[in-house]
Amino acid sequence: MSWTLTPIRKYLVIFGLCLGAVPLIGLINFVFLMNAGEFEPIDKIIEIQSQHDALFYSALRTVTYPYKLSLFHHVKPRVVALGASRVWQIRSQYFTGSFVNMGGAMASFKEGEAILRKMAASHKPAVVIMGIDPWWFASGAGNFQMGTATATGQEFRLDMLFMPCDWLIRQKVSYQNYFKVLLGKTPSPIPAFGVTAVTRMDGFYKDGSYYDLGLVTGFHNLGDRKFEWVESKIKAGSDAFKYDKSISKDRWEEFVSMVMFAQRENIHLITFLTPLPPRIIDLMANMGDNYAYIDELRAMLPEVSKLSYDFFDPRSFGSSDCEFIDGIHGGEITYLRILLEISKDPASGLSPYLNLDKIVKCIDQYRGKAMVPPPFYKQPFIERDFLELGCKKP
Amino acid sequence: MLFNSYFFIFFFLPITLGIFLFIRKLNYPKLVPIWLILASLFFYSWWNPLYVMLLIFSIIINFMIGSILNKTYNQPYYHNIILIIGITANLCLLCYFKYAGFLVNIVNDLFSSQINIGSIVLPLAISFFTLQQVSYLIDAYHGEAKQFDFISYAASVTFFPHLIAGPIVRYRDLVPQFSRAPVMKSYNSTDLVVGLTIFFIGLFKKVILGDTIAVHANTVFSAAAVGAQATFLEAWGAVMAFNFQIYFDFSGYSDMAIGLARIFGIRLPINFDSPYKAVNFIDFWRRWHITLTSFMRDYLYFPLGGSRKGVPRQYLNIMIIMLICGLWHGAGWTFVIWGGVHGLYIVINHLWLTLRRRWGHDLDHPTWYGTVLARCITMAALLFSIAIFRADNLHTSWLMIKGLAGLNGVLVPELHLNLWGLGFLQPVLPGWGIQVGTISLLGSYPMEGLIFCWLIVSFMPNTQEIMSRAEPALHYHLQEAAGTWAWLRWRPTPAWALACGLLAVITMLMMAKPSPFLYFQF
Repeated sequence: MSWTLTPIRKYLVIFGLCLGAVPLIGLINFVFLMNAGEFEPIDKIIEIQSQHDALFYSALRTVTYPYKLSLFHHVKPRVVALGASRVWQIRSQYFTGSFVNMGGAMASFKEGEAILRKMAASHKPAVVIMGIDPWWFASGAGNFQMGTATATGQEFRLDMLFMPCDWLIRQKVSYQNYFKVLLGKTPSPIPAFGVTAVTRMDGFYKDGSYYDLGLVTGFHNLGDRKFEWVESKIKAGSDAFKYDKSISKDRWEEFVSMVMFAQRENIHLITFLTPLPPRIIDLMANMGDNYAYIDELRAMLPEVSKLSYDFFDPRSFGSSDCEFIDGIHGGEITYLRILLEISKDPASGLSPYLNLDKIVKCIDQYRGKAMVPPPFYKQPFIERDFLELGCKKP
Repeated sequence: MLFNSYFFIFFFLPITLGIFLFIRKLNYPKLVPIWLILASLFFYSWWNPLYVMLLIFSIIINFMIGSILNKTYNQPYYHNIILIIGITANLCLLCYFKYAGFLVNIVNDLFSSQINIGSIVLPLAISFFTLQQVSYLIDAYHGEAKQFDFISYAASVTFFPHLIAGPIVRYRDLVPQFSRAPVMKSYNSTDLVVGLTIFFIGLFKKVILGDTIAVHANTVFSAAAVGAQATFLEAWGAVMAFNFQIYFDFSGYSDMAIGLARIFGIRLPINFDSPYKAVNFIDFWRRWHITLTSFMRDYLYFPLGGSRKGVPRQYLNIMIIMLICGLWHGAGWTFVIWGGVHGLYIVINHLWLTLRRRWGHDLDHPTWYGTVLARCITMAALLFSIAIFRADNLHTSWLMIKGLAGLNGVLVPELHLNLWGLGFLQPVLPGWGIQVGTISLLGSYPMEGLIFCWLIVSFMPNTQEIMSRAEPALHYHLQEAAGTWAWLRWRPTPAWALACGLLAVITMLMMAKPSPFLYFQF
């Protein structure tokens, strides 16, 4: 092997020029991310959201926890919805006073108790409505953590600059939307921050609740078609759907500890078991005793507190598959039904904080749908059958 | 620090290389190994700074023992004792960190005791740097390790391209390259070009091929670990996916290591030679993780007697070696059994070859259909062993083996049936005990991906064959890409520069989420 220097130098130059494209693409992606508002500080986003009806959701940063906490301190609400993403559809417009949805700030009882402690130390809401996911009690699933408790929302890693390439290839972001954002335009017809909100029109509203506006209206088509994604998780026993015969003693003790803490601190805590679509519940029931821990949990919950409600099966309160966002998240109408059910129990003390007339009216008017037309959305709102379940959504 | 991370590619490598070139320009070659040691220790400390001390301690002790062995060559009594002390010390270190938990579990199971030693963190690369230094001690014992200075020795052990996951480098191969100043003087830009090209080919194999196919294997094995019953095609799809994943991952890593070393003018030994083209298991282990095989052969198999003490003893030696090989891969019964299964394969292979010789078959001139059949049988046997190797425990292995045998039922993907115009079979298949539906465990069934990977590993030339003109690795004596693939023989032309450059760009754009290499855990 011996080559003269000329071809080697030529090779190095061409190879180097190609490699030089990588930082250049990183730079272009940086502009895209900046234009999408990905690098905006959380406090600024909250401030802008409070002035304009803007949606916010980052595809890049772990911001839910710091964002929700800032929102809480900013609003100092009377009522708070707490839990994982499965309480995101509870919205401020159905409450008579101030409300913040802190869904996504916790995914375990340790995290829940930590947030309650923060509330006890700063501002105690009159009512905390907490959605409990059944898999938080499964030992097989481990101790779920949002991993966000230490997140500041200001993290920057080099690989972030190349994530847009992955989104483009996997068609999570279309080339059309990418270039629009790059040129400083917003694909979303409403004000938005963060790549998800800007390119998909899905994101947190100023009350912290989440609008799957792009999915529901057909702005994008990235939903859980026929619940297939969740069904595959159940068949594989993976992620949240890990199999377990009985509930974890440790998790149960953590739950009891959290409830006791709330009682000691005079925090009015209402807990409820979050729902899954009937089709998913039936599939889980057909898996033998793989999910036996959920039956055990449902029997045990009332032992801890009178204010623990079981809404696991939406058929029990009149909801259906068509009112779900996907195979794991109930829609707005499902949660309106839940609020109404809780309010029927005088012991819950929730009625005074709810706009019951509006709730009843919305349930009547939008039954079978996943979303009530958002007041800030000025375009014609048509909910489509985004789950492709054959739901009639005239 | 991972080779497939932006920090490594954009910061660590350019800075290390820049200072390396600067030192060369100063014409002070003795500084080069010192700089490479410092850079390598920083590279290692990225994982856990505390364990750098363990690495340094291990290097100092082994160098001292090796020096003494070189001096006591004519004093057999002391010579033997010092070697035993040296090897024992190394093995104790390895046993403590890697096998203590496993051994305690065995004791607890056997005697119903409840000994608890807590969790011991396995220092990264301990299996690799221990083997490398044991080989040094044995070479020194046999008088085959010429004494070099400590800096060259330390540089050869810590050299970051091979430190974490090999290739396992012999003292005699590497230390002379660091000790002789000319290696630094003879360095030229060809090394840089060849090294970069090999590095990015390896990165492509890891990121684009290995990581893509990995998803399918992980899903099924994780599902089996929690009790899900993988059906026939799901199980075969998963073992095939993992089979290709581990090859692209590990051979990709080896390419990257060889390429990185070459960037600094150092040549590492070849580690893979298209193992999935093997026609039997003897052939397979000559092509797969070559540096481990040759280590086992030279430092274990031959000392045990090899094939010199009769056929039964040879087979026993093979079984011992392969069980140790399995245990080296991990402290668990699945690895031991996997090693045992491969040992059995090799023994059966030897018996079969003996039989064929007795029958008068011409083994040197196989027929094309014989080769195809041999490759298929070897691959099927390999896939079966993968079900044991990849599983988290014996129960999961058993579930996967049941799936491979079709005992969990057969489910054919409706999508592919229709895609291939076989939809008309749909009504009759259930009558034959075959269900038609969605293969949920594998996600979208990666049939096309698996076929694509199979074509690459079965027919395309490997990195060394492509780079044959550049003498890519030590002990390189493979055939170069020829015949149909002659156009794939690399040369420093603008077209190749552009092709390799684009390959590098695509790969780097796709590695936003770096995943660790599989062999880091061994």
